Amino acid sequence: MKKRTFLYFPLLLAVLACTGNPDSFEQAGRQPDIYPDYIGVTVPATIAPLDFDIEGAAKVIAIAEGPDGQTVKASGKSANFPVKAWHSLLAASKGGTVKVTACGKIDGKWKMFEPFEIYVSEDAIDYGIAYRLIAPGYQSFSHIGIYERDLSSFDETCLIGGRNFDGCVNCHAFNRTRPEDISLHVRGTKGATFIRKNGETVAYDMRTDSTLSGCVYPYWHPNGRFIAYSTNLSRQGFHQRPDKVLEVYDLKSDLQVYDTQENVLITSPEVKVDGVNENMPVFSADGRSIYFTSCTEQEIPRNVTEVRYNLCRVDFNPETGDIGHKIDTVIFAEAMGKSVSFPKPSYDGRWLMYQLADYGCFGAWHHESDLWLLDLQTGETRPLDGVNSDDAESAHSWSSNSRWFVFGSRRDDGLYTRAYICHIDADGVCAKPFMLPQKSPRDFYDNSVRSYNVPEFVSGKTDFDGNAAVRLYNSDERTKVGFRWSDSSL
Amino acid sequence: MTRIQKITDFGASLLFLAAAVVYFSVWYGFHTINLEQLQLFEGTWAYFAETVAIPGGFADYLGRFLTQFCYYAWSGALIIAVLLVLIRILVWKLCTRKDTLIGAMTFVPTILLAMVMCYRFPTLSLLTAFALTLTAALAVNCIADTKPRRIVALALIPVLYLLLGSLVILFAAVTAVKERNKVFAITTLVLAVACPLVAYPLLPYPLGRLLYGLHYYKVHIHMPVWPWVAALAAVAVVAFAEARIPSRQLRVWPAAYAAIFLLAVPAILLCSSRIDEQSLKYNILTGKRAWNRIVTEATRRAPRTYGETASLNLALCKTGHMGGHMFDYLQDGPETLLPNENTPYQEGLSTAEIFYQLGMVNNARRNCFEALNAIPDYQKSAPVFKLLAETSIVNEKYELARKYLTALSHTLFYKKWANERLAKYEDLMELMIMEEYAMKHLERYKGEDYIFDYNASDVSLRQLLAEYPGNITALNYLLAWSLLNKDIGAFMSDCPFEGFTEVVPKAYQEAFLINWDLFGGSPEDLPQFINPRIVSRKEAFTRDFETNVPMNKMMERYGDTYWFYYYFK
Repeated sequence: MKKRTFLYFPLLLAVLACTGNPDSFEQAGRQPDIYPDYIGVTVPATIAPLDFDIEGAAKVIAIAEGPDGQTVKASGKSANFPVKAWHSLLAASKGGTVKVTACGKIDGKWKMFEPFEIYVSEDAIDYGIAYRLIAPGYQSFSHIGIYERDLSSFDETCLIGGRNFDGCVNCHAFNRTRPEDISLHVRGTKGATFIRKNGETVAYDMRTDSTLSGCVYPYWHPNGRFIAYSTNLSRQGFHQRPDKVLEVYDLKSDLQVYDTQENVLITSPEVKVDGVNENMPVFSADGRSIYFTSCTEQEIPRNVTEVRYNLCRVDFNPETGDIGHKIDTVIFAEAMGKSVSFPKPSYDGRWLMYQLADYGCFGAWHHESDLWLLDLQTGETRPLDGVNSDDAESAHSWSSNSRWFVFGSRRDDGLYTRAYICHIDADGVCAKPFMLPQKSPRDFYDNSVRSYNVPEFVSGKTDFDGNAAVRLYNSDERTKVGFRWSDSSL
Repeated sequence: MTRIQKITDFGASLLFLAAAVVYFSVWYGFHTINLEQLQLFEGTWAYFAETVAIPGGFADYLGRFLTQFCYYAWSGALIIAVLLVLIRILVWKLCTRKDTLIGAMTFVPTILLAMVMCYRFPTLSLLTAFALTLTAALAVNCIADTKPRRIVALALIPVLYLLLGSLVILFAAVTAVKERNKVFAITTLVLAVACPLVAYPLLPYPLGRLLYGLHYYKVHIHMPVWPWVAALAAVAVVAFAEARIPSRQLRVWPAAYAAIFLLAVPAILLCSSRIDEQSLKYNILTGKRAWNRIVTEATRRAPRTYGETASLNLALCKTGHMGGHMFDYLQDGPETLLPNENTPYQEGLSTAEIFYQLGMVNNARRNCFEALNAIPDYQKSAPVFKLLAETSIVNEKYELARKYLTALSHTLFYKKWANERLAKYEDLMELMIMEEYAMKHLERYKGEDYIFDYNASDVSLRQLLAEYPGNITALNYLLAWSLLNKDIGAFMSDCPFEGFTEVVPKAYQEAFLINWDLFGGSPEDLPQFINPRIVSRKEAFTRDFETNVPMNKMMERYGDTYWFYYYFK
């Protein structure tokens, strides 16, 4: 390491001279304590600059150097790299390593730190991510919105919500990252499920006499015709121990599939069982199965810690929308004293990632909640040790090429969820995840009092007309949906 | 104008200024303080950049800057009054013809704006935008040559829109009136109205809000019409002064001012709400932990809602008078002790404070977030951030505490408080032993986890006591909970009658006597801690009760007793 420092020394000295900064500084003899922690992370070549702050430093100077000697410099209160030069550096560093040497002015003295590395993957990443920004709030809500972020820059666009209307938006989902197909829900007196398909946005009233409630937790079928939902009677409770916060639990829930072609909700007696709560359904990559979570109903909230969901699977006919009869238990989490939530199969059909917590259906508020990976070829399952933290990991989603996943984590401060992106190779080996880059990140995240909720990859701009959707929300124009039982012959 | 008229005009301004200061500091002081409570002005570049990034942002930034000084009612009132008078002077300066009638009329826009300031969610940004718009119009009017003046006016419109918001229409209208040129008038007005229309597709705001002005009122729906009536009035006054009507030196010049002022009083009172003022008073004083002041205020004017009574009960508890005096005030069930989920979120801060003082830190945090979400224009709140920082420290969530403290360290009035804590941040033990954090850390609930159930609050309170028997607040609340629920059995089993070092509080003695009666105890066997005078009063109460003395008489005689609550509420 010392040798490397020596190599970077003249370069850094030149920068210091150019920036009118010190002509003397001491060697820290260690890598910097940077925020966010980008040391040793793996990034896609198109990612926005990994700007960072050095803890305790009033000023920062940093140089990022690619394998071919190309360099990008940053100096100021934070290390904010110029976007264009950064992209050029990363493009030239694909499959290699970018070395970053940083210097920080701490307590009036300049310190030079050992360089750290950032690995640049050859695997491409999608255009951006879409997420909900939401402030902590349990009964009231404000300033909720669904936003889209271009991953190659710092540009963020509000799709709906934010300051243009006062509804509560949630449950946004895209079809395998395709920005054209969107399902999202708006809660409130005029609540509706918005589905955009073939360029047209329709507001649906998804409640029927035969189903529990509206549609929750959407997941598109690969053929774009069907959307799997659960329908939930959800409640929330407030823990009293200081290390716990909130519990979201379902009094009842069922599984249903919406057929966009026939405008009907489909369910079967096997996934609408009295005394059993089926939840969070997702289609397999080939579209022939539905994975979902399931638990035995408990007396709530008394036995909330006994609520344990298993991962199950049922056949699905993508031609007719019918649901099979045989329910397979894929992960018997109950036996482990654990509970599965948010299963998400990779689009290449190889993996299924899920959350595992001690109990409950909503791990986002469980500090012990971790991401686990199921190998759909071998049936082996394991926690993502290098990815998980001491705090809650939740709401993950896959990139279109299944080489990246984005997830929410409360590891930063224990309350506000931040989006992290992680590389996963063909063998399921995960790199160190990195926090969604921001310019002057310490100031940005310190100033932010909203959580990044349910981040999802999008392969292009969504071009969602939020104002039109708000007009639709404010109108009474709602399309009712029909209901049918699944064909029992499947 | 004659010298006397000038003096009268100056005097009228001075009188208005004084009246506004008194009104917004004394009569309506908590509304003024509340302006500051609903924001967190940070003296950072990032905050400035974020605020000025949208149309009207500069005026909003200035308004928010001035709003900081509403931390004290008197300084906030002074700022409001000065801005209102400044607007009046600017309108007056824009008037070509100056006579007593015009002089009186120039108060109309100011009075209309004062009416807006009496609503629940006004902003100083409206006043700063109004004043700056008129200043710009005045400055343009000072350019002597017609052509450059008109070019400057047209060029300024988009700039003023970006800086001050849609009140640029006022600028355009005033300039158009002064110029007396139809083509110019139409051009300026079209350009001014076009600004929000052009911004509409570029910004995530509905057109209605862009046209009204993004920062002129905190709430986005049901916005008062008065800001725009004031703008219209300003244009009308300038136009009237511009009209070539022969000036009539009215002999009744003081009457014009008097008439305007007389109309202003009911108009302002109509827009004011004493009910809101009282509700804000309790919420703010609880947030400031001004326990003695709350008790004093309650003696002057009794609390009216669940939330207000809950604040008073906390104040009584913190001053050691809960058991002695809580039934001196009207109590109405357990909601007057612990606000339930139906409490308005605007009272979230005082609700959070109650839970914090009890040691139910999670509930306190939950209500802090509800209070933040209740801020209609999504701003942060300095007092709520303060409590969030404290709850984070008590819960040992130091990284989270740092976040809130850092934000507070960028403010004017909370900086010292935040910096004191940030200075100790390196040594967390030092931070934890600060002030009452060590005690709160002991008192907070940390036992076996369970989901909070409002109806079983007594269970939570008992668990707090089991965790830390020294939690006097929890003990008082547990006893009060039983009393308010008329659960004498639970009260008797929880009340440590022998443990009181001084006199057993009055309400506890009264409850004891109810229990004594229920079990047919004889007066001779009453324990020592029961005051004979209370026994005599109980006997009188029983006599009156059994002889069906009317309730109003009973209230008159025994309204301050637990017996009255027990039998009549």
